[in-house]
Amino acid sequence: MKIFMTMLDRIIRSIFDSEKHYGYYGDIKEIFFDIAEDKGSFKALFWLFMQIARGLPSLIANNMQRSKSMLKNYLKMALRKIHRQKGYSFINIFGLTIGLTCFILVAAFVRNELSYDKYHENAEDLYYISKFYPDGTGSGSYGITPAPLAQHIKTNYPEVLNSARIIRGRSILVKFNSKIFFENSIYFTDQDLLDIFTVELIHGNKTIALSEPNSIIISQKIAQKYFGQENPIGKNLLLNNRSEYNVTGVFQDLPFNTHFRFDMLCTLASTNTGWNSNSFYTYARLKPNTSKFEFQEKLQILFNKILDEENTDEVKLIPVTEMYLLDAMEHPIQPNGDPPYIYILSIIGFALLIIATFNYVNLSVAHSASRITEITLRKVVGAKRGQLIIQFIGESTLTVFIAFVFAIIIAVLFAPAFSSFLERNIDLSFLYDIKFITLILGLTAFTGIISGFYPGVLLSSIKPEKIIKGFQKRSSLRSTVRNSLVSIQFAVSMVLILCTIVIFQQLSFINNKDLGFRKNQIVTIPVRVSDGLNGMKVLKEEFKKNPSIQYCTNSTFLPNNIQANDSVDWDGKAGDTENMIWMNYVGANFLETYGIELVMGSGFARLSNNSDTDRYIVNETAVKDFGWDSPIGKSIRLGDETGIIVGVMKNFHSRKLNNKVEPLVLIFNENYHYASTVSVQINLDNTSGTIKFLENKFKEVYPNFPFRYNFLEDMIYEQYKMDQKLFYVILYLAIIVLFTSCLGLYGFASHSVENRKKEISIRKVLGSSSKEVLSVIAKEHLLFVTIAFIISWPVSWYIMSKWLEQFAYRMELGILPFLYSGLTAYLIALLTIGYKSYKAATANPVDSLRYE
Amino acid sequence: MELLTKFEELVLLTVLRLKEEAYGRAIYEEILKATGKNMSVGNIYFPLERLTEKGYLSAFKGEPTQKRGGMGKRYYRLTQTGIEILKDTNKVNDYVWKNFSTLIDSVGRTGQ
Repeated sequence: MKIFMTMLDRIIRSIFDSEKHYGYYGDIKEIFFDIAEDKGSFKALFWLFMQIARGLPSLIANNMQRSKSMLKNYLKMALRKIHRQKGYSFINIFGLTIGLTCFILVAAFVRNELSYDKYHENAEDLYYISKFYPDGTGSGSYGITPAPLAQHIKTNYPEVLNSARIIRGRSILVKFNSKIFFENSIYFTDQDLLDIFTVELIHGNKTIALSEPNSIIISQKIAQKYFGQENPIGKNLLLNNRSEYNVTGVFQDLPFNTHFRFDMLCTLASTNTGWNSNSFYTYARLKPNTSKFEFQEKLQILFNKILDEENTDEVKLIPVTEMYLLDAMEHPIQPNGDPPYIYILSIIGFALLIIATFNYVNLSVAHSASRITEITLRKVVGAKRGQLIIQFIGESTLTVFIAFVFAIIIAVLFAPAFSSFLERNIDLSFLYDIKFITLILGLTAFTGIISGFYPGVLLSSIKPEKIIKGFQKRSSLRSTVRNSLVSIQFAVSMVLILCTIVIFQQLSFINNKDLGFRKNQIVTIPVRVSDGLNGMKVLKEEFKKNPSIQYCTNSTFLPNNIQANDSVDWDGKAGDTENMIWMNYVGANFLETYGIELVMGSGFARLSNNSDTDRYIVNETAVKDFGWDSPIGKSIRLGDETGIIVGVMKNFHSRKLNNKVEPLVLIFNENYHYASTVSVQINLDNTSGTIKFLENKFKEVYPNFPFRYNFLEDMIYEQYKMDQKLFYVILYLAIIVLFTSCLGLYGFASHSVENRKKEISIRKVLGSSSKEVLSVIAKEHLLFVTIAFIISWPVSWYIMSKWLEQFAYRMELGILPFLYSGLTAYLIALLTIGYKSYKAATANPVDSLRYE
Repeated sequence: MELLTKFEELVLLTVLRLKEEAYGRAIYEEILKATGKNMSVGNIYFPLERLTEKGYLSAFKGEPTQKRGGMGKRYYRLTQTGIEILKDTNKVNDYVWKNFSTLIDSVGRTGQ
């Protein structure tokens, strides 16, 4: 109790003028102790509390009454001050505004990315069941699950309220009357899925839409595309020229923040794949409050039991709300978000906010030192200390508030451009959120108070006489504090810049890395046919007749995105773990078309189609795994099939460059039903002519199919597009960070040098040359900058090494980027400080000493 | 002459009544006795300060005591101006409160 009172004592005494209030305070104490004696401490405390509660309103009212006219005056003075010191004010407000705008935009984006799939009803109970393949380092990749899983758990586990599975339909031809299009966003699933995910049906009944076989529900956009204004319900869509699907529902276009977007959902026909093949996405809705780990355990036991032998597959339960940001999914149902980027962006966003605020506070503090004369005059004319405090805090709060308003305005203006650049819907509605507004106001008040505190409280305690006499107190503590603030600021910006440079290097490294196959000059044409691939053979023959076409081939997957894998086994395989290998069915000339080098064996050339055994070409990684020196002629088992290796090809990147090259096998089968993407390598002179030729030939062979083509380059660009864009965002942010810090540095240098004008002049008068003065001034500043510099190196090194770990292909963290950026930043600091010091040092000492 | 607010009037009269012992706490308790209103001590001090500024009161410092944690009491005393204003207020009051009982009775009966 005593301690509390003493503390309270000190606080109150330091804030209020002790002159008048001792009486008040003393009275309170008197009464308090009397009551405590009489009725006990609780009653006393209660009384005290009531006193404060009742007194507060009149305290405010009284002050306001007195200062209502002062308020208008203050406002006028604040605005006039801003106007008068346009340079300083501009830099300060500008710096703060930019930092805030970027923060708002980044925050909106990150918030976006984190908000995926929260809109489903019961979102917390929705889970994705994933196979998990540990890679021995503690993490691993996530995969898909077998067909019977969904039904099985629904029947046998009471905590599963509902479950469903989804399989994707690859590039399906959809036809209604004269409208024919290839659709890539069709999925096959059970009725139960509509129970799990929230899908709003505009037409049709959600509870039965997919219960009949061959039903399909379509999005509004699709309905418009095929049926125009007609009601699609009851009509039939023809899929792949063989199956009719009855439209039973139209659903509202899905919100952007879902990890699973689809245009059409069809009823899944019964399948006869068993527990050994994994091609389905299984989702479940569990009873609320089910323990995730317990159920995950049960699933693991289930798999162990059903697959007996040595089941090494693990099972994991992933909340649906985490799916979008799930890293390392082998077959994401749709491209996922990028956690590392989001992480980096949020850090940079925060750093920017902190730097901007920091800058502002720093600058105001430095600037206020030059307002000592103003303060003194005010005191002389009769301003009370409390008033001065309020004035300064008020001024700075006002400025911060202005900056905030600008920032919000600019953010709103920029949001659409930002959205479209990142191809996301950047939602700024959180600006209206009460919590956010409170946060903003709090931050404004906080910044305002801090930056107004120093001048207001500390400077105003200076006795007027001292100032007028010209005595300027240079407390070394104060300047050390100030200098270290600048150091920290500089250090943080240095770290950010270094990190950005490294990120930039890593991304360029990836981009420029040779993918291992030709990506330009390749035109790809999907041919979805059900008539065996005779037509395709003819097509390829026709194509080859054109001199502009060098090679052409067909395959299931394009080399940049091979999506199928299976288990591989070979004689002499050690251990019990299941090895997976990626696989692609290809026709003739695949390697030639894509310029992939054959390092061993004769490949698929001169092979007839009449052999029963599959022929394989494997890549170097696979051979290394097999541990064979001469793999040609050896046989391996792929799932249930066996085949002979006829060639070894050079490694190429068949997945996004984040991953190492994994084992891959090409399976030669000209007639394989699904090897139906034709790739054509063309000469680039007269591209449009060649394309026309391709189109004509295509129409000859397949008159009823739409001709669609793509340049592989474009597709690859699409694959890496998001990475690129995020990279640019980060780049610009870092530039802004650099800019802001330089701004702060410049402002700070100006003021700190200004404040030493007298000192400089005196030194000069006493005989120092400009050069000597310059070195004295500059040295002190540069010392702190160097310290910052030195701190920032190991910090950035550590951060960046951690970040680079996620990349299988990473650049070496060299000294060079650090040197470059460090030197540049150092140079900038030198220039800034140097320039200001120079101007001060060479100024005529008379000017500043005149008023002595 | 300036009219006093009712509260100011109360305060000044209390100071008068308390003679030498007119300090914050005492005034607070007197007003509590007179009006039954438990104001916060702060609510007393602001008017007191205002009245001091206006020149009706003057303040002086008392001896610090242990009980007050080492702070002295702040005593208030009527100034000459204060005395004048009280006299004037009294005259006004006399005038407007004249025959109060009779007047208030007759209103009560006829409801007018």
